[in-house]
Amino acid sequence: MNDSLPQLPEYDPADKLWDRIEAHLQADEQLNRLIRELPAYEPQADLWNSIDSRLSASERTITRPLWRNLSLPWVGLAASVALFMVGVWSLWPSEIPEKVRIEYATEIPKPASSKQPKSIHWPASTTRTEEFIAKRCAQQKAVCQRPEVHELRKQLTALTIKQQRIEQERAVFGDDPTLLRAQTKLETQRAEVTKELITLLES
Amino acid sequence: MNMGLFRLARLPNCLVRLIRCVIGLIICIYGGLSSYAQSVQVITKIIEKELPYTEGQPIVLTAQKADVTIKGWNRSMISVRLRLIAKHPDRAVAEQELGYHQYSLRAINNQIDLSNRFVIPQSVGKLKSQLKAIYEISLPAKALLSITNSFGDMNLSNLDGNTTVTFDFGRLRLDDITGKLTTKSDYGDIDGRNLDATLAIKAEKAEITLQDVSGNVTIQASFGKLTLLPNPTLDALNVDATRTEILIATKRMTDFGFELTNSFADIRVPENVADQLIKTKSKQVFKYQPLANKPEIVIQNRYSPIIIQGEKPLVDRR
Repeated sequence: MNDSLPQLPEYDPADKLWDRIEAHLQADEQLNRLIRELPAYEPQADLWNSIDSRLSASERTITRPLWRNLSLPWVGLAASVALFMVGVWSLWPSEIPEKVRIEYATEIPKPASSKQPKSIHWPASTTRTEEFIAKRCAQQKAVCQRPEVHELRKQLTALTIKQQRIEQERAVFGDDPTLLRAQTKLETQRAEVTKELITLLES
Repeated sequence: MNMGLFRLARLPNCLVRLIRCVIGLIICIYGGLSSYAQSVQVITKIIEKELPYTEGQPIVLTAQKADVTIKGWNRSMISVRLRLIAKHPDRAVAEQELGYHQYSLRAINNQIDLSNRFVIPQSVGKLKSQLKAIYEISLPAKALLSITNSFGDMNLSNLDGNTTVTFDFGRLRLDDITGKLTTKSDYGDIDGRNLDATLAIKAEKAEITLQDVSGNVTIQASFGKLTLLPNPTLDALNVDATRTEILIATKRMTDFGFELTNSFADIRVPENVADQLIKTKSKQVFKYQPLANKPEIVIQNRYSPIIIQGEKPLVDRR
């Protein structure tokens, strides 16, 4: 502590600091002197009596009846309306909080249908079909420009896009029965479109 | 073998019975364990809720992989029973993955929002369980209802309001529908019975069967199958299709007027009206108007046949 004291920085007081302190001290002395010189006044002799008489006058309370202007039929009507509103409120359909419960059960899985595809080599068959169609179209350009061929090729593309979506779903949900059914439907559609397209290209 | 039986036969009766009991017990335990090992644990979270409905308030159901049953009733409430299911042989796995179901059943911004979805952390990757949602909803028959769903079956019945259904894959079953119904289907089949509505269907690669159909029906279809059994009380039926096999089965052909056009495919009609069929190289046209003021069936198709059946019963093609 003693060693560190010399290392502390030094500060000089502001200019005229002592003058300002002295001025404050003189002002206090002046104020005390002036208070002693102030005049003194006495209250009037009957002041307390007058205050007392005014206090006793204010003690008289004015009573105003709450139902002065209301007749019995009006009171009955108001009560009926209030009762009706309570009734409507109680019968009004309101959102009931949801009930949640968990149930446990076991089931024996049905044997997998032989119709349901377990693994599908869709990309391979797609590639083969597309290669064949592309090859045919290169050989017979006029046939491929026919509107029905163009439309069928468009359908094949749409089926491929749907197939990709099913593949994405299966990547998350696995061999879900609904996805397998959808895949079977797609395959059937694709087979029909491909058959028709190849028939047109071969004709 | 014979020696073994001989020896067993020579054992005291009580011992033989004991051995039989032990063998029977072992078989029972083995059978029980094997069936337990094959069984799947089904964990179902059931949420039940009732919501008040005011006339004209839209009800929006946004479903994913959900089976949906909606019935119209004459109460001003919506009753929802949502079952969120996870199935897996290991109960702990099913319990964990049940948590990936999320749902909302609430009124927000003067709209009833009913929805389910799957929130799966990226680290999980492929799910092990089979997840499914099942809705059972009863709502005011005249409600303003909008539904979207994927990979699920839906059953709508007794609706008399304004209903819109957009779905892909799965199946839509409609029963006793009046009012207005608009449907857009992508690969999703539609099966309707007893319909008397302003019905608009837009379908891609769908099998559509509508029986006892009345009202004003407009169908746009491509790459599918369409079977219609119109009721004589039909107002109008318009079909614009491409590569859609169309079958119209009537009890009496004279109940309807027909205006059919098919390009690059046949129109097949009963023998007694075959003279009304005009065939050109690429187009066939059939116009038939037995009496005035009969409901008009107007169909345009391309590349797939149109078949009109008269008095003969409908052959189930499925």
